[in-house]
Amino acid sequence: MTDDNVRQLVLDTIASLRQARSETTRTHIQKTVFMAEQLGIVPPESFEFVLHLYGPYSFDLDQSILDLLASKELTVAPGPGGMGGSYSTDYGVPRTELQPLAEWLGRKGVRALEAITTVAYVEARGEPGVIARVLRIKPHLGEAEVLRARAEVEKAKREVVRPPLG
Amino acid sequence: LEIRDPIHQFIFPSELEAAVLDTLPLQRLRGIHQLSTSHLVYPGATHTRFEHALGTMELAGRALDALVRNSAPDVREEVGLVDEPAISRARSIVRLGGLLHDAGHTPFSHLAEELFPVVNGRRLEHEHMTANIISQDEVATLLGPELVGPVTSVAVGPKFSDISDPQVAMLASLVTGVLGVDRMDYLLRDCLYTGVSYGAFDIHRIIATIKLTRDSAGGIAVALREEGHHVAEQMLLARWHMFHQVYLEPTRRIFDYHLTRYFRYWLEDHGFPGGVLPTDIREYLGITDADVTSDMYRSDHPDARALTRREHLRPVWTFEENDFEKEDDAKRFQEGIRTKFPSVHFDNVSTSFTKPGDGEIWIDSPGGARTLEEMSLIVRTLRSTRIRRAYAPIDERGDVIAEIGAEMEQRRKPWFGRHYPDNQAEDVK
Repeated sequence: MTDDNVRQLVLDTIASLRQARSETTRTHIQKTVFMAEQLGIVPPESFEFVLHLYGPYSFDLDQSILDLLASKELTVAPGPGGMGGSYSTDYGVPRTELQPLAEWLGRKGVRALEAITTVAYVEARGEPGVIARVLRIKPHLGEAEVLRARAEVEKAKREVVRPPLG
Repeated sequence: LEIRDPIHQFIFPSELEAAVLDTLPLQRLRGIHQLSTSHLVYPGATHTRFEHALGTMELAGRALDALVRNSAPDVREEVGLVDEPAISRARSIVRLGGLLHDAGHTPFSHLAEELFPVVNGRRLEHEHMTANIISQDEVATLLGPELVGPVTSVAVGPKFSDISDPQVAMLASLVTGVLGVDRMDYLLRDCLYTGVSYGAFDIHRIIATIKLTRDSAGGIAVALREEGHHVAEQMLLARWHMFHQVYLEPTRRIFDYHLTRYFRYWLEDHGFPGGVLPTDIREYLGITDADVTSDMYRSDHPDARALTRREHLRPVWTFEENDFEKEDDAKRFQEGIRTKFPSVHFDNVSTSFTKPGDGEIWIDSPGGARTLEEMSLIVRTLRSTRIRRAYAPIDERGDVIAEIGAEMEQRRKPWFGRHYPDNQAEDVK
């Protein structure tokens, strides 16, 4: 993707989350873009994700957010307790293909987002014993919530409509 | 072994640390200026990455000891800090990670990052070199197979190392995170050597209040005790001021620009095609600041003369944040000026009081952890900013200032922006 495409993806993700009445914290943005990549809604490897804050996390995406803040295309207001600032923009438009993801993830708390995206991250790497692996990486999560997260990821894989890429 | 340090008084490396200190990658850091060209503006800023590496190691050990002392047993257990042998191993990993965290720095520190080759669509960064240096040759042999992995992860952080072990993630955060000792050491050291005072903060207080807490997801995070929140504020402000006043100082930025161009030419001239840095560790470690600067003083290359004879572009205008509605607007404006004055250089840089990947700063308060942002009006107010400056050759300064002034007036914003007065002593603070 070109820099302009990346910039627009971030702005449109924020607009989509806002439309879904999300608090649109940095964690919501990070995890929505990650799942959009995983589900083939945006080109794979638009951003490189590694395990960092609350599961998979992209430093490049964070840099894009900081750049958009600096250029005033994003604004941030105090967010919900413990989840950082709440982002909004006048320069993005909600995208049809992102909307189901925004509806699914946009109003979740950080713990649920961490469980869902860490499951998807471990699954995507093809490592055996997904549940046990997630519990080793995230020892504060319980087995029941990891199983629930996996079920949600499986459901999203079945139901989310992928647009033709290219 | 005991080493005197101007910030931390005495540093006592262990036997293993002393052996690592004697390797080529660490000794090479004596030849890498911490602040690239800042010593041309702040003459005292001649310190190197070597002493910063030592300082980071020292603070890493102190921070871990405070964290163990201040943290509840259940959270310590979740990151494996269960008994003295485990704590001792963690101390060794975090100190070695601190010592080695800059081992892969380019000559002139961050200045030459753009001279790394692009591999698989991404430009290499110095942390890739650090990881390679730790895992190969003499350093790896000293560390042994058990320590190489965790020390590499702690040294380069999560962006450059796949960290799935909660203890290693915590130790990496202690070195490279938002409350990391890397940041603490360079702020204090740069402040001392440049002679400015706004980078100072109460290092003893902040270290003494470090602990582990549970974040909003229930995971383990490095935090401060409640009484540490003012000094955390102080440290963020120190970083903000150091970026605005020292790291992004206008004349230093233009020296960096000229030196980057000269370094690219130098690399090509020394058989590195395309003027990019070598990735072979032996070749890479063979280049220090001195190799380039000694040739620079003998060179008539215009970018060498910019530094050796002060024939550099001069700062002529700093734009205000509200001068341009959007990035495209700024780009068009700058292209227009460069059409008329091709020698003009625009420097566009974003700065923030945090950097990508920084998590929340957690403050452990009665009733649970809160973020510093929740507690601090100052932190809520600090935001990313875009700094835009124009530079021109000395003999075009007047014309360029007049042109930019006229353009800005047409935009009905004559009160925005400012040009540099003719008598500004822009070279030496």
